[in-house]
Amino acid sequence: MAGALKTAARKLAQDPRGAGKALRGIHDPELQGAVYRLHVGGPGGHRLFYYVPPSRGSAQVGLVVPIFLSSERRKDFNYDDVDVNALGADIVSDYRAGRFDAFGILEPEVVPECAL
Amino acid sequence: MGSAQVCLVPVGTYRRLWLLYLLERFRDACFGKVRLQKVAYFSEERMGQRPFAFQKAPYGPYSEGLEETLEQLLSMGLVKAEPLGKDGNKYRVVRAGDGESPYGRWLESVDPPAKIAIDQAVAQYGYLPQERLIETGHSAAGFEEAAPFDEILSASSSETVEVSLDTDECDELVLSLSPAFDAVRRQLEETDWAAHVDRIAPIDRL
Repeated sequence: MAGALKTAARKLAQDPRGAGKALRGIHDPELQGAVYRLHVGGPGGHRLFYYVPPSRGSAQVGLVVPIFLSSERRKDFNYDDVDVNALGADIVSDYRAGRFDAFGILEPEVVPECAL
Repeated sequence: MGSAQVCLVPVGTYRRLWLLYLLERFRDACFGKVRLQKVAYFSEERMGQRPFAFQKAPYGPYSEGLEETLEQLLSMGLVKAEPLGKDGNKYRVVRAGDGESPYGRWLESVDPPAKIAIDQAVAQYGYLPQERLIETGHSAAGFEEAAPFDEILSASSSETVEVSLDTDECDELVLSLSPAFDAVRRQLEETDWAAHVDRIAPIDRL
């Protein structure tokens, strides 16, 4: 899956909102249009749910927060295994605790072309 | 759109969906928990795939599971309770945006008879005066013979439920009704992501 992840990373670095599809069923108005799904490895691939923090005034935050990446491909997905709480909450707590080495600024040109 | 298939979703998701659809069928709101419990019971009585077990209680059939699911929906902000003075609360579904609610379509994809049973029970029992509703509850099948707090209607035992939706829509269903995701979304919203972006180092290579 490494190559597919690099492709996904490149897409997300280039255009986080355009890379995936916004989840429509999100109830909270604050999150509508902020949580996306991208299939890593093509339409039948692994689900990646991610959050793009909304802009504050004119400032773009410029972060992509992955919430969940499924280990199974799309058709084999088991919803019982979705532990969005574990992964999403870990990332939030790392950020809040100042563990910034767990994050990185990724420019699209850093991703090797061979991964595409 | 994704490919149509059968997804297996946790029974907890089905319970939340079932109750949301039931509450949504009331014209204004569901007035009181006694009414909610009775209408839910009479809906389930007509169904094969039952999300909640009911027991004999003083005001008629009562389900602890339904009570817990209602509390979950309230804490997730999917249902709102508005006080009715001494008569408890009325309960209404909080609509997400202006679009058509997906709950009916999703429920139909699990169990079409459930949708019909709920529609009929809300129409038949949902607006009865409270005393009449309680009397009707006391005349439910097996109620009189049962001992207090005995189970009078059992729930289906399966831990998962089959849903005939395409995979994208299954994602929407499970995530939008997931308490775990709800907890994450609160943390995502409450975090000031802009505050420390300048302290994140660039990645040299991937």
